[in-house]
Amino acid sequence: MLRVVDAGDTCAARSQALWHGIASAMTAADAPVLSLCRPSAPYVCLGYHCNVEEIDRDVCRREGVAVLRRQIGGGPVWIDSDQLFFQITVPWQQAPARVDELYERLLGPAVEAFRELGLDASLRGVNDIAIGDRKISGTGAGRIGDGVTVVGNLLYRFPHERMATILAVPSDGARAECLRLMRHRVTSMETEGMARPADADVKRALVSAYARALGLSPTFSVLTAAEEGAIACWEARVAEPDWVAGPRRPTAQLRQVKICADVFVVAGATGEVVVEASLVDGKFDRVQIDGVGSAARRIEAAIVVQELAALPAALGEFGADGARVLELLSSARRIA
Amino acid sequence: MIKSQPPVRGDLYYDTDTHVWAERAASGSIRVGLDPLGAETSGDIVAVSFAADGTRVRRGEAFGSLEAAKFVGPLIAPVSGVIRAHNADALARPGLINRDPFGAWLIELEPGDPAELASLLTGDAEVSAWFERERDRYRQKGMLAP
Repeated sequence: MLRVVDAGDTCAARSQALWHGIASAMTAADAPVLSLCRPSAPYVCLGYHCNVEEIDRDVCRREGVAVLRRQIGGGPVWIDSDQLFFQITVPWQQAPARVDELYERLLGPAVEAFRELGLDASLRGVNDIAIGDRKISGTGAGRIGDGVTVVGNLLYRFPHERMATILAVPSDGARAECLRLMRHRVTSMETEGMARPADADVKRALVSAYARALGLSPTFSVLTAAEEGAIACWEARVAEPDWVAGPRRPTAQLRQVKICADVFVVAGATGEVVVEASLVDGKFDRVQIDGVGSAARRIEAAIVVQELAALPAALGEFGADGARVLELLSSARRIA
Repeated sequence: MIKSQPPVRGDLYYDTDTHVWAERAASGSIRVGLDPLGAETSGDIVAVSFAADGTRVRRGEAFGSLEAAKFVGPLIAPVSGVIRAHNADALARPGLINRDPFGAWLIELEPGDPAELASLLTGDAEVSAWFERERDRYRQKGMLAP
């Protein structure tokens, strides 16, 4: 049996608490659960290890947008009622041990459902659902208690400007670059020129695709008492200041914003050297360097179209200035 | 896919369910890390976090979290104890865990019950045999390079 829990429209905290609670209450003997919801109000959600300083909390406060933290990965995301969420939760013993296989198995059905809705969707990278090279679904996963949950959404419409506004980045230039790349690489049904579907049609396609892929018969269900209890706890927790502050993590020298699979904006400074760059499909796309005097433009030209691994050779001729730029850019983490 | 694995160390103690290793230090503390198969199946590790030093954890409980490919999973304590130290290098550069899983230890515990260590798998022959079985199992499932 595939239990289907349709929570309908929910407040911000409950849209997160729903699946955290279902996973927390899950036992090895339980059937997989597909839960569905649509948040009724906008909010910003931080990935579990994401530094709270990656968002501009003043902007969030000014706009009355709540900030929550989830126990799955990734960066800060803008969430609103133009996104329909689906979450598949299975006992951890039934989940593939390898993360890429987990996504393949548990996001594959969502890809099928999206295709049924008329989108030319495919799994791109490890865990993006995309139309060509444009991401149309934010995803993530985690083990919570004895449940493993894979979360995704379908973007009916996406406010790129608002998302760019809530990011804390070192300069207007970095913010503009985030916005430019988001417009190119984060799409929605509206951007794809498609009519907004009825939630019921999206849910029907998702339920049917997951049931087929898992070989289980779908059964619509209400939450159990154990799930309700766990959801209530999570509903309080996801907005608690200590929880939102996040786990203790070192501050990175380089600010790195992930736009989608293989697209990043990085910005940072060491001493007087300031570097802002974007990495697209593994290669530096745009680079701006300040604080190295007359060599700046030549260093920029040496970096553009290079891969991260090729930088030591590309910057070797620039002596101490090249070494400082290399030190900064080498601290870019690989985030799949 | 894994390209090459460091040789397995038979002098360590392994929790075979979680692929976490434990090492008894001369000081009596227990150093804890992720073994090569645990690191490999996690994918490229981009973040770790640990409970604060001084936190008491019981065997089987999470002492921290690990993130790879937007998946967050718990790091499970192989023995009970009080966290006395954490590896700041692994915290700052979590990719070290993939590159050097035996070198990139995670935390040090002051053990609550030293006898718990004896219930973990240890010894060259036993560990090598288990590791080979696990490696074969993962390869059959397509999780490791042939």
